[in-house]
Amino acid sequence: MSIFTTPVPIDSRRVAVDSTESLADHRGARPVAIDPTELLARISESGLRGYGGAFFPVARKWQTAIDAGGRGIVVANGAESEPASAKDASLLQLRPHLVLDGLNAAAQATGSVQGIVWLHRGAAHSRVAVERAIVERRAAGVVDIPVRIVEGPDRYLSGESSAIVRALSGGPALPQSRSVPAATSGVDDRPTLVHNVETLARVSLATAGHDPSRTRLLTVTTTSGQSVIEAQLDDTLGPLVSALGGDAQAVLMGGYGGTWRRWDDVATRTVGEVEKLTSAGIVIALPRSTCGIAVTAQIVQYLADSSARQCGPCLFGLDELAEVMSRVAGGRARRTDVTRLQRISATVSGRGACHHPDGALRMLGSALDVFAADLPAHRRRSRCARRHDIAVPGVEAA
Amino acid sequence: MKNAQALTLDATNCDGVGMCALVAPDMITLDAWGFPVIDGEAAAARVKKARAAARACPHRALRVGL
Repeated sequence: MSIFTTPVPIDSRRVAVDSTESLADHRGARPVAIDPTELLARISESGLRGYGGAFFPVARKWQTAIDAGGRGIVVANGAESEPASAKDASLLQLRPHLVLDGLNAAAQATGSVQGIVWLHRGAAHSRVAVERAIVERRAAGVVDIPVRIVEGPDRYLSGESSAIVRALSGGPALPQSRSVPAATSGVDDRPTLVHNVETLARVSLATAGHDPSRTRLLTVTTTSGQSVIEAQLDDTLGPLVSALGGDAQAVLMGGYGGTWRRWDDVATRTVGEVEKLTSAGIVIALPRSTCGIAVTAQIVQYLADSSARQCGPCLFGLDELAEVMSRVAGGRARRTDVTRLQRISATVSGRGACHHPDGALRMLGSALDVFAADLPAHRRRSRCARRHDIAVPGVEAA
Repeated sequence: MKNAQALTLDATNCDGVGMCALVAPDMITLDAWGFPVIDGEAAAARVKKARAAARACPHRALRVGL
C-alpha cells in the first residue's frame, strides 16, 4: 500500500489545501482496536525505522518509552528544516489522517497520553490541513488522545529532536546535550517519542497489516524545481531524476548535511541501495553547467548561519570554513586551502551537542572529493568555466 | 560503551573560559578558539584531577561520570 495515490509535483512546499484527503476518503489504515502488545509486535516484525534521517528502529524507541513507565508524549515532527525537503509538508497537507492515525497508534502501543504536532511557525498550509483533520476526527467521534499543534521558530535547528524536547519543556527551541534518551525522559521528564511525520504515516500502514517500508518518499530538486515522489525501492535513481528535469554531474544526497556523489556513481543504483545516503529522502541534482564548489560554499555559509551558536567549535569552526570556501569560490583559492579546510574539520568533528556541525563537515568533505578536479580553476589567474550565479534552495543567490 | 569515569563536556554551556585547561593541562588542551579538547583516557586514569578540572569551570560545563 502506498502513501500517495499519484505523484505530487509541488511548488515550494505548498500543496493546494483543497486536495487534502478528508476523513471520509481516508483509505482506512486505522487499526481497529488492536491491543498494545500486538501493535508493538507488528511494528517490531515490520522492521520499521525512522524516516527523519536517523533510521532508528521504531519498536526499540517504543520499548524504551514503555520501560520508562509510559504515560508520556508522542510528538509528530513536521518541522521540516531542510530547504531541499518537502515530503513532510506534502504528507501533512495531503494525508494528515494517516499521520494522526500513526500518532495514535504509537500512543496506544506505548501508553502515551498526549500528542503534539510540531511545526515551523511559517508552515501555515500544513497547520491548516492538520487543524481541519483534527476537527473532522472530533466531529466524527474518532477516539484519539488529545492532540495539540505547537509551533517553533522558522529556524533550521527547530526540527532537531533535542531542540523540540527542550522547547516543549518551556526552554528555547535549541539543541541540548542529553545523557538520557527522550524516550526515557524527555518533555518535563516524561517519556517522549519524537517521530518524523512520515514515520508515523508508515506506522499506520504497518498497523493495518501492510508492509510499511516498501516505498520511499523523496524530494528531488532539479533545475526544473522541486518534486516529491513516492519511489519503489527497486526503482533506479537515474531515470527517476532525469524524468524530473535535466542532466546532472553530481547529486547531493541527504540534504545540506549530506553527501555529494558523482552522478555516474549513483545513477544506476536503486532507491533501496541509496536509501541511507538520502537521509530524510533528499536528492539534489547539480547540472553540469553549475559549479559544485560555488554551490558548496553557499551551503556551508547557510549551515554556518544556521548554527544555534551554543557550542564553540560549531560557531567558530563553521564560520571559518564558510570564509575559506567563499574565498575559494570567489577565485582566490590558495594551494594550502584544502589542507586548511581539512584541519578545521578535524578540530570541529564530533564536538557539537547536536550533529549539525558533523553534517556540514560531511557535506564539505565529500565536495572536496567529488569536485577536486574543479579546484585548480578557482586559483588566481585561473577561471572556472561553470556558472556561479545559481540559486540554492533556501539560500540567496550569490 | 562510554567510560563511567569519563570527563564529559556539555558544549552548549562552555564559553571557552579555559580554567579547566589551566587546572588539568595533561588531560585538557584548548583548540584554536580556546575551547577544551578532552583526552578521555588521561581523564579516566586520574579521576581526582578530572574532578578538579570540572570544579574549576565557572559554567559547570564539565562533569565526571555519565
